[in-house]
Amino acid sequence: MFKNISLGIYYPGNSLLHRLQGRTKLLLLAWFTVYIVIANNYMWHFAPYIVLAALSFLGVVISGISLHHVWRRMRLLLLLMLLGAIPTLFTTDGTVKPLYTFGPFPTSFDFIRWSIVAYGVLLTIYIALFLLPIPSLQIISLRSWLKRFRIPLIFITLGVIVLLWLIRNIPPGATFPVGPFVITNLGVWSLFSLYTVFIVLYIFSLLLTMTTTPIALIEGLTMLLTPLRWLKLPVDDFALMTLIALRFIPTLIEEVEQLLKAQISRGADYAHGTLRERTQSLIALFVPLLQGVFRRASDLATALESRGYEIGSHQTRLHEKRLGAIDYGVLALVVIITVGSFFV
Amino acid sequence: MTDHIISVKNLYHTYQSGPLQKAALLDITMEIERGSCAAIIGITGSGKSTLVQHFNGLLRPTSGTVAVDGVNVQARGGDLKVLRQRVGMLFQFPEAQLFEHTVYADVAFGPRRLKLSKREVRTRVLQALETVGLPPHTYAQRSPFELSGGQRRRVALAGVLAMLPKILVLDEPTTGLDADGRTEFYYYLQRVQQKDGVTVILVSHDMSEVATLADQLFVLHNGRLVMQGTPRAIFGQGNILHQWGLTEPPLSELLIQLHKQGLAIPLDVFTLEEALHALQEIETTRHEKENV
Amino acid sequence: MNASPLIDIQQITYTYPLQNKGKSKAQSPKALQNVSLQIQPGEYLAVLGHNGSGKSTLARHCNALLIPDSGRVLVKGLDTSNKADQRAIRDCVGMIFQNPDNQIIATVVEDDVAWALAVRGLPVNLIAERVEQAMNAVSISHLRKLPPHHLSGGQKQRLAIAGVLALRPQCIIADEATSQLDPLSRREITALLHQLNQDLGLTIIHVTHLLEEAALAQRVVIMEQGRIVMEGTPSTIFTDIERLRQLKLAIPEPIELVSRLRAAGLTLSREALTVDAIVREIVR
Repeated sequence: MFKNISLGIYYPGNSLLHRLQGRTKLLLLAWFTVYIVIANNYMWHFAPYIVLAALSFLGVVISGISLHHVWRRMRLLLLLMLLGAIPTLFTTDGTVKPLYTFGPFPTSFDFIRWSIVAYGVLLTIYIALFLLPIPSLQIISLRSWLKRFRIPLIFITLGVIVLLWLIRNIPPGATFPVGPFVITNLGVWSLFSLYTVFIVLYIFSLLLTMTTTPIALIEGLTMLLTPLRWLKLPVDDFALMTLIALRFIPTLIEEVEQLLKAQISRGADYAHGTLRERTQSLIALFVPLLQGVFRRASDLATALESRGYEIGSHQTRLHEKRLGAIDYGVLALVVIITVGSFFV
Repeated sequence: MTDHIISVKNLYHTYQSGPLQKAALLDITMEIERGSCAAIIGITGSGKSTLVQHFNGLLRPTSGTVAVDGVNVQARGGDLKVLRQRVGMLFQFPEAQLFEHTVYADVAFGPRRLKLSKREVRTRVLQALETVGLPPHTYAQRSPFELSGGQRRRVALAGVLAMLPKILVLDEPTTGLDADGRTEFYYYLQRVQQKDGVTVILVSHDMSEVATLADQLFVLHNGRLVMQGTPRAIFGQGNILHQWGLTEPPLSELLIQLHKQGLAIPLDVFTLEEALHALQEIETTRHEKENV
Repeated sequence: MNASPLIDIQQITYTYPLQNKGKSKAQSPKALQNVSLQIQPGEYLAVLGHNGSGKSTLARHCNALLIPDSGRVLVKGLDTSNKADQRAIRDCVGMIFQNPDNQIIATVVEDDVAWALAVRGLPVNLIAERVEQAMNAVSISHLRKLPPHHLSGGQKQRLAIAGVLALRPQCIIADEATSQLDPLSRREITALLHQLNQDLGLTIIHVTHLLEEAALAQRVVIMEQGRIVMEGTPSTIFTDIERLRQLKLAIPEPIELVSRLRAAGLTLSREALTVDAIVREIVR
């Protein structure tokens, strides 16, 4: 049912991680960040990273959230990082001694031309698969799978044409060197440490938001930011603003849907038409939406006043309680393990 | 042969939300007569909004067919642009959708999208404003935000009427209006139905509203069509609506209770005049008996 | 007669400030003109009037959301214009509004009931106890963990009432609180307000444009153009149907039926105002 789907990524549960106060978890996250910055300065010192990896794995297991859910939220990040890995690996400042060198490889322009021809053949086959009425290819799943390559193929084809134009005057026998590729200690270490840091911190933040309700998170943050209050910064007002934003996001989403339907029903078209027409249609969506938001804001201000909100008054925290034994226990344990790892 | 402007056959609609599915409409078959006023009633979540959103193609059937004035709304394809012109739709609190500086410009928004000549747009806007009782010479150049709640709602109605729809779908059109706003809105709505021959489809949970306006009622509950008939027939069946979380209009409720108390009042009495007449008759017979 | 009214409105006049320059320079009309009204503790008062008659403006003066231009409003003897007393006044007089959505602040039902208490810095266990009682009083305990956007309109208004009840007020003002609800929820909320008046002795000010909602009130006040134009018990007010119609109020059909029957010579008690009462009266 719709009613069970709520916004955000909080997973209800009663694990150790769920029972920790929001503040404890926020502090732990901050501590891990500091720890990683320090660990980064010790090259080839693996103990801190092993500890971090072990702790994050342990965290996921304790939290009771299925590995599948965590993986689903991680895979995009991993893919992006893989793309970034190649330049990092070859990072060198020229002074460190190379770990491994390969190349330079002499490459001929003939080779490039033949590659382009091969690409052309593949492209033709691809287009043919779409156009020719071969019965075994009518399978929908195969089609949609092929369809996914449409957009990247257009870009690759354009790139290939540009390349062809650039090398049009070069004689076929000419060669040029590719490389040498140098992999250094520094490159490997940067890659390794960066990877670990990203993944581990991402997992920890995921665990934080998956095991803490948004409200507890806001309250925890407000309490940790108490020092800012001495600087006369409106920490509590900021917390109230965040709370109201969280509260009204679903309501506003519904409102947008309704407005969209209403304007479509009287002629607005968001998918077709000239730029001018589309701009008009967008105005027809955003102006009423904004008016609605202002009306709500004004109503809410009245309600807040009526319910007795006063700026700067002392407030009771509903979710954040005193730090208990488990909070101090977990904090102490993590600090001991992490600091200890430096001396291994 | 009656002329059905909308006919729905075995309509199912299932919402997909992530891995979860929710059946919103189950096997709906119904017909709405051209030029009539039909009301679709049911509590929140009964599927009434989902149903009417099929009539102008905002939603497509999961299975089954919806034919609207000869146009088929199918699971895929079809020319929805034509359909959206023929079917005007007014959502709850429609005054919230107004956005232009003047009443004129706001009503002209739809017609301008149809690539009509300037003159044609003008004629349509002026006519629509006239129809909803906002004479253009006083109202056309005013800002919609200066008007009263009831007038703003009529501007929104004019915005839809300027598309010259053959069918007008209204979702809870009078919620939040006071007695005057309501009466006026009903008056202009009935005028649209009778003068321009527009088929009106009302989505409502207010039975008094339905009793005054509708010729035919369709009761939805949990995505199923559980009952249909004229208001007189449905409200005359006693407290039958209670099982679906609805109430009869106050007058019918009163008469039903009187009937239960053993008063010889016919159940199909529906208007105030009829009720008055029936009660007076009962009173006279009672007197006669006492005298005898 | 009555020693000290809970709310004492003394000859107040109020004009809304002009909001933008684009409007005509002419002074906007007075929203309230020389209104006086005393509300006794434990009273159930209905304030009737069409949209724009000034009834909401009057209601907003009762918990210091608006301060009169002239005249004064005393709540338990405290002047609403005195800033230092305003929180005490709002603790005593709570308000629920027309739009069910725009008065709910927290993301979960029970947190919202607790919100006003938390803002006042009360201890956690006291908050928990009061939240529990307030939710039970309006029967929404089973919804406690739900986010507000999963509630129906009627449930949202119950939540708003619970949020006010948790503060242990003496008076609740329902400012058009039923006008955006469906008829069944409307009746339920009206019945709930009546029940709170009967069971807890709460003073209720029910602002509405629907006559049928005023039938259970002890006293009815009708407003028009910023003035009180009629005042009395429902049974006296409801007999003058022509006058009510002039005041742009919709006459419920059962009431009209009774009035017409009476005109036709039947003797029917003036107390017959609700459907049940009318049935009893006719069958007799």
